[in-house]
Amino acid sequence: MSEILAASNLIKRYGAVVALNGMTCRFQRGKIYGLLGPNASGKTTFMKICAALTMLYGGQVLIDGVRPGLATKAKVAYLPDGNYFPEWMHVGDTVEFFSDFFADFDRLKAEHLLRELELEKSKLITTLSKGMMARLKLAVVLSRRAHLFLLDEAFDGVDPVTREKIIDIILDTFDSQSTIVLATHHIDYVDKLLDEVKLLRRGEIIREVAADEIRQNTGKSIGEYYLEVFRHEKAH
Amino acid sequence: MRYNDREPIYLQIMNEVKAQVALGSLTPGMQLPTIKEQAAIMRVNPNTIARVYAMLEQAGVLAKQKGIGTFVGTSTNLAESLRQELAETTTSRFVSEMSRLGLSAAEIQEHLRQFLAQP
Repeated sequence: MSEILAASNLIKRYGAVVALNGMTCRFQRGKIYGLLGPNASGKTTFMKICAALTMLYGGQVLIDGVRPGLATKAKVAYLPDGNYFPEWMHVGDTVEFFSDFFADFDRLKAEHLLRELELEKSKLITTLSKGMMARLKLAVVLSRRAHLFLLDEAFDGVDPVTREKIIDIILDTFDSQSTIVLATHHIDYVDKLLDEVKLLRRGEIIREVAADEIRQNTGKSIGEYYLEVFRHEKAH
Repeated sequence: MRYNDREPIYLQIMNEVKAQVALGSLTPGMQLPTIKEQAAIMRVNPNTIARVYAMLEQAGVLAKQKGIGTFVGTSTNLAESLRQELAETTTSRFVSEMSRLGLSAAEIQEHLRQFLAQP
């Protein structure tokens, strides 16, 4: 299995705050990863660097052997936490927007996913509920034929029925040539999708374990294992 | 399928397939869904399904035909031997739970005898 993403000794500071503190890890093609950690552990900073949205950092990231930049943006589909589209847009405009920006955007799939997730094209972005916004972001991001999908808190504000639909869409999108990284606090939503779990603490990877290995060796669920590791952490 | 979060998912699915063969809902020679289809049906990672199929092929429960698909094995007594295997697993789980309660072999037998004697 080949490597799609390698980070070595990543350092990122925001003033006095250290967001990444020597993060080192590798991601293979054909796997789904859970990147888990408490708030401010560095998940979002890491994803932004990989998506070439944060350009100043120490250490190195290689995507298919290339540093994040224009060339890698074509391979990396990033779903950011929080709002993403300009406020004037309607749901339908986001499809045009993605279509213009990404050559790998599959418009037919996007149209299908909008219907599947009951998103009306005529709706103004600003009128969408949190759950609706989560669905829209997923619909457009997962309509790219990208190699690496970085999904930051994709399940925020999502109800149980929608959660199942989203899991179905993620599984439909995933194949042996792609890699999906899920950063989420909703561990129990995604635990059956994960090949491997990477735990991030204060900007450093502290554990990398296969999901079924955790269950087999500890008799714990992924969520319980996570709690055991982080229980004694002070909140930031 | 409902999963136990604390047990490896591949083991649970493997046991489920074995049980279906043992109980006859999967019959010898029947074709199984592709890995991708099965993952979608069971809402799990396709690599987990690939692992299950590979292990069940090794165990002779499934047979892969190149370029065609994965099928339930056709060896004689497959269902019966899987039924025996599952019965043994279930018994061993029962016995270890009873031992955890501090019961001796004789006491476990007595409990079982009384339970089975109930109308």
